[in-house]
Amino acid sequence: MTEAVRLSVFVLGGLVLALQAFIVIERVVSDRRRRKAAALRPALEIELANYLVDLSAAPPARPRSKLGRRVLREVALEAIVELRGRERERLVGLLEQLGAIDDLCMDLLSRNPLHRRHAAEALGEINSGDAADSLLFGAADPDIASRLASARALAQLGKDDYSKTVVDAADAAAELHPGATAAVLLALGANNPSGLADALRKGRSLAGRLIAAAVIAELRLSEHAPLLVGVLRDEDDDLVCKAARGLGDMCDPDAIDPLLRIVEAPASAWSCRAVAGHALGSIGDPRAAPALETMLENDEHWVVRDRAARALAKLGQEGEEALVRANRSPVEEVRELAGLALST
Amino acid sequence: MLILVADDSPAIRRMVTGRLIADGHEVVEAVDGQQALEVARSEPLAAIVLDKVMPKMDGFEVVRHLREDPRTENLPIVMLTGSSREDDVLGGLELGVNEYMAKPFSPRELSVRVERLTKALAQPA
Repeated sequence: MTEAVRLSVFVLGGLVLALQAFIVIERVVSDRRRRKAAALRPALEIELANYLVDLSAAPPARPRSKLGRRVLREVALEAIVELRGRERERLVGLLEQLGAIDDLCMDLLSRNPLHRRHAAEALGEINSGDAADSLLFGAADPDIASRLASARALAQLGKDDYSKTVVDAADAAAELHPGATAAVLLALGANNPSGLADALRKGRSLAGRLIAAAVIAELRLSEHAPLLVGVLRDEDDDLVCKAARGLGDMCDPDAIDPLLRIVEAPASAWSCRAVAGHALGSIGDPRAAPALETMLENDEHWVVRDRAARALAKLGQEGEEALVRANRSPVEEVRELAGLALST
Repeated sequence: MLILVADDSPAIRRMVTGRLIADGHEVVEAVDGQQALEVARSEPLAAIVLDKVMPKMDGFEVVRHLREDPRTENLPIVMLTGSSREDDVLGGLELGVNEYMAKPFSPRELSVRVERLTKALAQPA
């Protein structure tokens, strides 16, 4: 028994020693690699800067060592984030020549999810169509962060062919990762505006549609306005509010009639009526004055009445006349709201 | 004309420096805000290209010190920044930044802006 215990302690001690030795060796190797990389860096940076600035300069030679290629790729990727114009185009061309895009596409197959995500992010920065097939594969990655990074990179390519894949990936992540989903949809909306229609359609998740509506409102592209107008008929109140707010921010005159329908429908939610009233004020068309005046005087919810008064103040003469009439209302609260709106 | 390029990223510093040298300027470099301030006080600079986010002292702080010093109060400053948020831009302009360029930026455009600023300063009022 004692012999067995002694043997176990001996084996265990040996394992601990081996583990410690392994850690020390790993650290030494990694330190040496870091020092070598740091030593290679300045010369590569100078070579790269000279190439980008001087059109007649030869591109940096492909380093013979794997470490050298990695350092050059790192330097180029750091620079690409900060540059635009001719220098950026030259940098993308150089990365293609150096085989960096192929290397990054291979990294999308790595077993390490962090490597896959970084590769997708880097490919997004390079924005080369050569990576599209690999990014389509990456958009089905089991790791959600890698998947979204690939979807965002695809969105940045701005092609219709990839929109469905991009929206599929964003929609599947919308509930748990709203921020990353918004970033993907923003990239899609900025590079291929028509692609966002799919993100808003019925059949997509509510979380995804809400984010898509917010993204459209943020982008304020007039071509998106019909999409938001279509959403005003949706049965989900949050979605209707987001769309109404977006239309107000865009100051889209074509949205006046659909917004008036919300304001005038007693069955619509009070929050939607309030936001639609506010949006009508932002658009500033005096045609909305009669409906807003009715809202101010008769709506059952005080927030809606308050928004109606503030909106009327933005409608010019017609709005001001409506507020003057409301200021003589027998109802004290209506008089107060109208007076406040007139004074601001 | 001597231009100071202050940026903690060596790659960007060298890129901007290379562009300015190619356009006929002399360049001196600084790797952080404190060094930028020391160089600005000791060298006869025509302009400064200043990154906003730097170690030891950020770009805004450098501008504040430069504008308080009679020797550097009129020195043209082009600020490079990763943020184009209205508050940041306005904050920089209020402090006395002459030009504001958000990253990603074009080194050629930066060089043109520096050129324009230095020429404007050289012209008699």
